[in-house]
Amino acid sequence: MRRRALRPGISGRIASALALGAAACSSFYPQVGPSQESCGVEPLHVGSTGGSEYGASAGDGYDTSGAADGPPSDMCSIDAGSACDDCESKWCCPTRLACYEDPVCVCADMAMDVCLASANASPKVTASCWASFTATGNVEAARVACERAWCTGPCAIPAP
Amino acid sequence: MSSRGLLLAIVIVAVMALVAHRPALAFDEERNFAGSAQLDYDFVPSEPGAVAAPGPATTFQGFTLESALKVAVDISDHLSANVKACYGCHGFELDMAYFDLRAADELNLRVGRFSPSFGAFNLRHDPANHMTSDKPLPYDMGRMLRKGDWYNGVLPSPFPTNGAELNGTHWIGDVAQLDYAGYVVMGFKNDTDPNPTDFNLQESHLPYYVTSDPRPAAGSRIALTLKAGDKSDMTLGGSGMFGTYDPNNRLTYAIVGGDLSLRVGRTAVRMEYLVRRQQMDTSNPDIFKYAIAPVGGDFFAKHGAYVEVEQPLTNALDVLARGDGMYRVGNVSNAVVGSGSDAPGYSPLSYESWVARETLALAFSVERNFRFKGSVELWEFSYADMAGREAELSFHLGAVGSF
Repeated sequence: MRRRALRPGISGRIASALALGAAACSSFYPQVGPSQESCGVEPLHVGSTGGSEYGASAGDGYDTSGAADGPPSDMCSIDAGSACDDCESKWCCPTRLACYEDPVCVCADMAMDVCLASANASPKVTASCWASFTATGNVEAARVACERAWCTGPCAIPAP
Repeated sequence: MSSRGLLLAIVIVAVMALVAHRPALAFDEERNFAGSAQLDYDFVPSEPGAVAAPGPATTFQGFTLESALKVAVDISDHLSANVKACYGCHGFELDMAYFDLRAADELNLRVGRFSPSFGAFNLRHDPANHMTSDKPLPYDMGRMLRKGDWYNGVLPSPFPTNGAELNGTHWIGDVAQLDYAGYVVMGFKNDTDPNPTDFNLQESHLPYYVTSDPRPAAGSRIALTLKAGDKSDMTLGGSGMFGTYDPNNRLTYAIVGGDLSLRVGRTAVRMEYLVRRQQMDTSNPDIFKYAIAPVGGDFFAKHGAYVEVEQPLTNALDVLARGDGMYRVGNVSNAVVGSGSDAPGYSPLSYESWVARETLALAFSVERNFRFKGSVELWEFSYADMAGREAELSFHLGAVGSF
């Protein structure tokens, strides 16, 4: 016995309506990746009054010139313990401080330290750590740009 | 010329032709001068430090004044003009400056500066026209607690902008009325921030009423009113608006809403729902709290709704109960909107955040055009403030007059 199938027109319309409904819902339901502030490290100056509506310091750390005329800071003392840190402290203080003031960058910095430690001097993994940090945002990119300009050797920065 | 532009040109010509065709009648120019003013005191018992830093990041506690003066001129049977200036929290503002060119009840062309037709509350946004001191949360413009976290409502009201609107009303016998409106307007904008993530509403209030976003926003509204008698009616409406808000016309926003109003005798029940879907510039990922998702990660959605019941207790005393709230979902920018920089800040909102408020308000008329307003509001938030508070109380006491 031949079974009567649903008319394609009706089933097609139902499917279209369902697809349309799903598309409408998803188009109003955004997605996000993991939190960029969940590393537990407090950025510098958060909580001070500095013109930000959220109460954080505006800072001036987005200057990508990388000149060594930044504000004096304990975070930029030339006794940081490694040649890379000393070099960055000497030549890239503004971009280094900007990163430590940024809640996202400070966590990306921590993630990069973990990444580099686990790289075991593998050039490929090391390059991936640097690339990942640089791609996190403008503050990170500015910091790496300055390090690349002044501290490629001490920091063993791989070629981009 | 684009098809939209051609259509608009045809409509304008049609309206002008209809108006020109009608024989001129003797007409005395008529002018109406009206105004209103509300003084309100907002008391938030939580000490300011518990809410956040005192100032615009929290709420406008203390006295606020909202006042408006309006001139309406009927120039002829088919032409009228309205100019309304108001003074509020951010100084003087030109709320209206437009001409209405009316061919028939069903065909009216509005050009100039006005709030485009959207939702039901917009018609009642003047403080003399609603019983509470503040607006429902979906339409809030700076009176809510923690406003710096939320950056106001879904569609802060009023939202005057420059443009043209075609609207009209068609009566279907004595039982139904159909209202429609379609418009192209300048819309919202953010020309300031290097990586815009929300409207910069300050740019809509400054006297500098131009934008570097050259493409207009478009929208429409349709509403059907059914009348069950002299004392009962019901209105069902739907609205939508779409546009871009950045100088490159790249970042879109869409606002849609539905409203239902019911009047039975002296009791009024109103409810509205709005949602705004807004794209964000994600080219600088480190201003965001969360990593950018590769798909569906470049926008947020802000939902808002309210339900209110208004009941006169006596000829002089009205009571209103209102429940309203907002729900925001999506990535959160830590950069402060309108700061003109990507300087790091801190937003306490998370991927999903909500606020709910319950309001009980009384309005007492001393004279026909003068009343005192008082309300108590219970706020609940999905996140704690610096003092660990997720609920707060606020009180309003104000007076409003109109003429």
